[in-house]
Amino acid sequence: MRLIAMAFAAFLPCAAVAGDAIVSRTVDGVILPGFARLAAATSALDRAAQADCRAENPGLRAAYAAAFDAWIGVETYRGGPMETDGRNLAIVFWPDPKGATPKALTALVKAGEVPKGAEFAKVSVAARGLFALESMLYNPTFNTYAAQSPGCNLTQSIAADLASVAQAANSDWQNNFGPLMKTAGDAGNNQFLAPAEVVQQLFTALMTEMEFTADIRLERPLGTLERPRPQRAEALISQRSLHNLTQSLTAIRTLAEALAGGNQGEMFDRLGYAEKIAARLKDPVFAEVATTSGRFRVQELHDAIVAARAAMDAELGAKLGVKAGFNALDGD
Amino acid sequence: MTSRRGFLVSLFAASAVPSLSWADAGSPAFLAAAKETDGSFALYGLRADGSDAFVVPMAARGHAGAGHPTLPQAVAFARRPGDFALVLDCVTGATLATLVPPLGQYFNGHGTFSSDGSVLYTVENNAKTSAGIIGTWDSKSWKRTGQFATFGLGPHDLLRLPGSDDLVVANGGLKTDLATDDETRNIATMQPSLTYLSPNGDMLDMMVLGAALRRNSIRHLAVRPDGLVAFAMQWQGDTAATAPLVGLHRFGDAPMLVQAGAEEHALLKGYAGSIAFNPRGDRVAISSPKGGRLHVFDANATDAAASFQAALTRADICGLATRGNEMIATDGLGGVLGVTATGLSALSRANRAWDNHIVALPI
Repeated sequence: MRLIAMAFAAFLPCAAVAGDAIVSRTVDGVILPGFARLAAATSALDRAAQADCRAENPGLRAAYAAAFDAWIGVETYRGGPMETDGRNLAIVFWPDPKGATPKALTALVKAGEVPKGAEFAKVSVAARGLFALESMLYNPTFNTYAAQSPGCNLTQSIAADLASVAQAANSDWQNNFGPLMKTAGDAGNNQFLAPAEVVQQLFTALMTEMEFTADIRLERPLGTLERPRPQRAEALISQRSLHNLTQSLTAIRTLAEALAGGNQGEMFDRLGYAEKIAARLKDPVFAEVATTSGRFRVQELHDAIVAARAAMDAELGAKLGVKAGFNALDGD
Repeated sequence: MTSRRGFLVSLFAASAVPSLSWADAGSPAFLAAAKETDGSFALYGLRADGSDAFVVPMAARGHAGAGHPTLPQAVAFARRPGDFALVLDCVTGATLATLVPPLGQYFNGHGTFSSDGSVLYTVENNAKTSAGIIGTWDSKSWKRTGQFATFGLGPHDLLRLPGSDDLVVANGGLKTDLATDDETRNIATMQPSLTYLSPNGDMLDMMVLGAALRRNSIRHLAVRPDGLVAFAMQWQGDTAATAPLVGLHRFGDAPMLVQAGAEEHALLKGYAGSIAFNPRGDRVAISSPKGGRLHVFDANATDAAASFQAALTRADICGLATRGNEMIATDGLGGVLGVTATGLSALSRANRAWDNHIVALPI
């Protein structure tokens, strides 16, 4: 009897979960609606910019905020359609340690003639996407342009380009990549040979997002004890650093719940703890990393996300019967 | 039921009859190491259609292998730093010999046979200095017969040049700290190279890349029947990598480096895992498991900028070898795929993770 139970347990990792259900829950319930939202929000941003390009236009700023929120909802799905034509970089060129974005924007404004439409897609990626637009709307070096000026044209071109990239990515997801994920294992589907492979990819996306949020969003401004680097916080000039992090935690929860088919267990307790600490932080740009007590609070959030990630990796990984990529992580 | 004695007798008989061929081993066309779902390791023989021809358990993680040119025997190398290599009878699954590197040296996961199969060459490191060594073994007695230098640190892949017994070695340039398997100790001073050696260890030619590419570890090799050598690299610098990862070199000439456009190239994340030519030799491909993609290039291009042909995507893809009309690839999800210039097609999928390489057998 004991032998039989053990033999059954040995097969559990393969048979424990119905990959099909997880895939449709995640693809139909999270990813496809997420990309549709991104396409709609960037379209609205484009319309707002064409109607009134000035940086102080509250409608434009609100549309920008909504577009950025929509992006964070899907930022972790970087494979497939987002790799085509360099779409990831076209939407977010960050971190930017060499300050390529302000340089590229300055050059375009100086040149006077700002490329439009498909022509704009050929400019440096540093001058495209959400972070280029952030500079145009919030950086005092750029945001004082008048209507009809090169600055105005640049804002409009960036917004239109963002909408067009998001549109293309959304259509690719809805018509090609989403269906490929949902038909994993069907004859002729060479991208996914079994639903388990899609589950593996989605699980990797979850791990990557948690790593990005802890390692890039928080570790960069934390710097070292001797040398904190608050100026490295994400979206500092639009004051979105903490907001982006909170949005990312929401995206993490949404994906984790879809994969797990619930919200129970230590992994969700730990995620809830990270959310609680984030909600208690008041400084929108993590400037407090430069003070002893402030640094402690931000470090605590970082550690909570790392702990939640470890719990997700172990608990959800075991539940789904997947591990992060064998060759990708351990090459030779 | 076969008695233990009977089994041993037949096993002995099989390994003692040299007339047995690769067909008796189930006609495998490839060797590939794998990790099973229970965490154990094995070496598989795969047929051209992706099906399993044979399986042999391994005590530790495998890396690459080498097939004897005529006899159905294969050598499976443990992953670097390896302390053993198994000589396998692929008909019976029996281990004919276990090769152990000399004290103070370890195997680096690759090796090759001489053209007549009489000598096995193994790639090794001096454990203290990482100085590269090629070990030589007699393939009848499986006794160590000698060794010579690779003229570089941390050698990885080794191939024999077609129609000759000269060798080409990829000296990765990295010094390994054995205690931690840390390969990052000498990045500031590393100097990878490609060296051509005679079967006695004389250096015939050495190729190094310019100073700007000194951090590009030359790691894996493929060779075309006319002697053109393709090498794949792994960048040890900034992760925002723009350095090329593929080079083509002909003995005595300057190398040509090729890469895709900037955005597509960046998706490889500075890492190429395997490299292979197609059988016609007009295409060469690299795999990047970190990027989940293959890049295919025109191997005859005279203009480096125009050589990129296609990116083919598949998660955790790494193993790559010449097959039939085109190429074959394996991945960490258990997939075996046919590769053409324009796409991948699934041949088989099993519940195991294929390790870094798939090696074409010389048949």
